[in-house]
Amino acid sequence: MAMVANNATAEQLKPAPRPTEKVMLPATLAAMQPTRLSGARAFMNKMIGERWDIGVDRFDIDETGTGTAVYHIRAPGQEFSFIAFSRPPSSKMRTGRIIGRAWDMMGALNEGPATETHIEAARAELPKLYRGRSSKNTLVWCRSNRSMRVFDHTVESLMRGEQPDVAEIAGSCYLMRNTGLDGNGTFGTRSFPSLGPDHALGGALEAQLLNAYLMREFSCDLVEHLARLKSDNAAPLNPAIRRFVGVGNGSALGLIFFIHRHPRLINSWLKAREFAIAEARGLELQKDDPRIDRLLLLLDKAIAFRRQDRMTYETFASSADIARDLDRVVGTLRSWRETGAMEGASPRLPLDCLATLFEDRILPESFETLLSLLIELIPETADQLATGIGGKDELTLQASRTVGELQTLINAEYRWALDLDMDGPEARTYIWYKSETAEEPRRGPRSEVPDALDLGLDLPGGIQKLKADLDGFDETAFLSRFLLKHPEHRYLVGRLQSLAGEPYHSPIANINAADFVPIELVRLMNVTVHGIDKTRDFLNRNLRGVLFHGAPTTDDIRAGKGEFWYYPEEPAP
Amino acid sequence: MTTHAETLRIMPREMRMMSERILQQTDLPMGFVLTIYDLPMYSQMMGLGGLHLLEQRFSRLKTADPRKLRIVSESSGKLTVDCGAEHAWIAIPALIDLLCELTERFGAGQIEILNVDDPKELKTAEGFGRRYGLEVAFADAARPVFSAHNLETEDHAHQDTVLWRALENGTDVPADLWWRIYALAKQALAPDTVVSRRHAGPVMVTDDGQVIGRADNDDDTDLEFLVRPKISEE
Repeated sequence: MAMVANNATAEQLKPAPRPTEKVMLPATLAAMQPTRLSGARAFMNKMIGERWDIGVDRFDIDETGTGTAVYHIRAPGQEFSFIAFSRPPSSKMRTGRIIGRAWDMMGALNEGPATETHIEAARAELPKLYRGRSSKNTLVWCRSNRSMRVFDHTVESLMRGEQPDVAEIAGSCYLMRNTGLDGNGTFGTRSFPSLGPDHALGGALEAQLLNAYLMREFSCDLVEHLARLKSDNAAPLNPAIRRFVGVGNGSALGLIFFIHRHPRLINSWLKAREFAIAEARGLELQKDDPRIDRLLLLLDKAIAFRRQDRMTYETFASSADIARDLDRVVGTLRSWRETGAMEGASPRLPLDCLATLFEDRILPESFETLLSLLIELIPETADQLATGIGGKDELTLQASRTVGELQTLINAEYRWALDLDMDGPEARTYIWYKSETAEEPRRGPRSEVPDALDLGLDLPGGIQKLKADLDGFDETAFLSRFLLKHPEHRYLVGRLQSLAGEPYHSPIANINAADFVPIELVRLMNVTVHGIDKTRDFLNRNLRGVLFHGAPTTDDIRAGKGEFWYYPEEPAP
Repeated sequence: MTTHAETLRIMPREMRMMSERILQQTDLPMGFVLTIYDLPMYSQMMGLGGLHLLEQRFSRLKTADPRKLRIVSESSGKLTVDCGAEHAWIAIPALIDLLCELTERFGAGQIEILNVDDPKELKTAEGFGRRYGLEVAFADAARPVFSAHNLETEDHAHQDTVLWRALENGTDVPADLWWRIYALAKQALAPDTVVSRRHAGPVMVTDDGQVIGRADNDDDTDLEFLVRPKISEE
């Protein structure tokens, strides 16, 4: 590597984004970590950069926890309001699953200031949920539940004029947990594609992310408020604890449907991410470059965060192991900074050399943590890439192309699908379906739900059948003629053509197989796309994690403070 | 809002979801359903009453078969297609595909359409064809003919004008019709049973009452709720 480096230009040396066959493996997707491009981080950076003004206009909630709160959110040139209806918690019909019927808060994020008409409309319609209709200016309807033990402990501590026990808080890292963020046309809410790029919440997932942040703020405001109502000696939350507290988030099988239904968005997100990583790895840095200091600072921050992590992970690596791996990375980086040598070489692209060196020597999660932090060294490039993330959902086929052209495309880009054994006894063990109760996505053995409609996208099975039918057709024929005979392939043909040449749209997996692990793709969405930390896994299909863990307070945002807010340290007791 | 003249503003996401679920209950292959579930929405947006028609025609659509379409004659740039008495929504995808082919080969295309159910619904192709870059003209349901040429537009992002109108404003639908469509669509969802409830969630309860999964999931689950014979959404 060093010899080549001395003779080549930096541009020639620059690494390419990682290949599809590596990135799109479920194991790789599951190992990816939050980055500056992840939804929560990118959106928070935008709010900080633009100094959004978020504040409470009304907090009419009684001692039982019943009442109404209204927040204003002022972005440059645009105002929003958040209307929250608080209820005392009920232990009946309570669950983090979408099928639950007990919610401690229901809310609406609206465009424009909240009027009495909007508040009363939301009050009347939100409890109806599936039978309710939002106002025309509503972006999101939400529901959340308290984390009972931690919430009550926090209120009681504040009532005594004390701060909550850090160990108690750090056991879950949130006071309330999101149990539903419905927008983009659901219940009559605004369609997100119509918002457009000039809208303050026009970026991918931004409306839901703002709503999630407001859940965090509401949960902190509520514990302070209840403590004040019950005690004259009540203390406010220490700002450090307020930042440390995020909002809980449970996610599950529905995200696999999301991945299959939004391939352009997934491709766009991962492409931005992989491009940014390649750009950062390609930086030609001297050992005294301040960006190395920044990387070391961030690695140290990640190590401390992992060492303090109190969560237990079932399938995924422990935080202690990741911290140990990152220690080794830091050791090598510091050694290079002192000596100029890395494993005996003097690399012109030290970050690429560092990544190459550790790729197979540390856990995938540790390696992906390193890659995620490299992106912080090219913040302007990354933020520019973040603004371009998106992609329309409609997949349009081109029927004027020929059978031969489609065969060529399949052979070039879907070899993995053709090579999978789809006839084996365990290739179709599971069925993906939705329940009549809350439309909950479920996955079970086919034998247990014989009448359920199979809603999973069998990409490899479909491609194999399509390929077989194409091979029996005249390769010079137009696809219009082929699809007249084989209309069952029409969706797949449109999908393959619409995504042609794009690298990161479809996980390399048979989701119906006995050995498919759903949680791996749930984690892709939660961790990499949404930017959720501390995602504990349950039964290989559910995640519980923390969104906006360490995020700035509204005062911080208004002051434009909070760069590198993530990976928070536990507040001092 | 239900209080205003009993109409509801329905957005594309929900119209699509309902149409898809209703069509999933027919014999149509899933790979075809996914390419036509927008057509009732286009019909609704174009004032043709697609949602009402979807409810009315559901029983006929149950046995729909797009393979019945066949080309009965063709000469340069012109085709005649027999739709085998299938509904217009079933025929439109293939007709648009063929118009795309003819436009590519001859600069324009024309298709005479025979033996189609609900020929007035062929008009939805004028809106739907724009997604495929086509300007489709359709005039007479009594003697249906499609004429098409390439769409000339500088705004490719918004060339699908019917869809954009739907995304921006949705459409008002009579409340009673919407809730009937909702109920019909719901039949595509699997019955909720105690066994099925074990197919999701961080914990599950077995027949003998054993709880499987970790207790540290923080969601304060009411375990009795998971083993109820029936969960009501009301």
